[in-house]
Amino acid sequence: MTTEADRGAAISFTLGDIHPHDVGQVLDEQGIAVRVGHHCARPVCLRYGIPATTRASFYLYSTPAEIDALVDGLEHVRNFFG
Amino acid sequence: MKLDSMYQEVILDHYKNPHGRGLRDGDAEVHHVNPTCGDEITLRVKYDGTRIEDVSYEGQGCSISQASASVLNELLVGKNLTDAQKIQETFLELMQSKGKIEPDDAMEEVLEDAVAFAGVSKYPARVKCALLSWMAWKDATAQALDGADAERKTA
Repeated sequence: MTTEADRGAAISFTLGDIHPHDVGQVLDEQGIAVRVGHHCARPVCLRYGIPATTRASFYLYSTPAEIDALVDGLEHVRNFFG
Repeated sequence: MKLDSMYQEVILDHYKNPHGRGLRDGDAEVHHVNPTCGDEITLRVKYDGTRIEDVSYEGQGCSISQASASVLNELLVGKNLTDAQKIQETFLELMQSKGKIEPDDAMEEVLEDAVAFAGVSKYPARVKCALLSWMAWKDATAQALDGADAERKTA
């Protein structure tokens, strides 16, 4: 049985040195919507020494297929800017 | 692929091999941040009268913002202020065109590599990325040249 412990629905991440603006742009092109930037939390970005993050949010209507699409999309981002 | 219209080879080249990157001696320094977040630049200008002797910069940000700074350095260093201002105004016009301007030969001659950013104008969220270094250059220039004027007046 799953519990709420150690689970969250909004995940902010970095992808190597690729800037979140670029991550979001390429994902958008593939029909995947994420948010990018400071998320009104610049002090947190400064604290972790990163320029910004990409944030994916999930809700009760998100499907495993959409998560797979996100992962594939991120591979594509890496190849494009690699 | 639509992405090619924005991420042209020229832009990715400038991103991977930025021209003139690094902070060197200057008459004025500014620090600009992109309010839609995540791009920042520290930029210095050095003038020899009204001739741009150097534009040096450091920063972190998306490929568009960093490539734009590289193109700015390549285009403006060595130019006279009047010519540089014309280039900046033309670039601004292109960036604010919402994809409606198809650069003609005249515009290409003025902008050179900067014409590659034409596609960016179709993406409102990225326009400020492209303009960040240019706005910083404008600001630094105003400080460098106004400061010099002030010195002349008080001397």
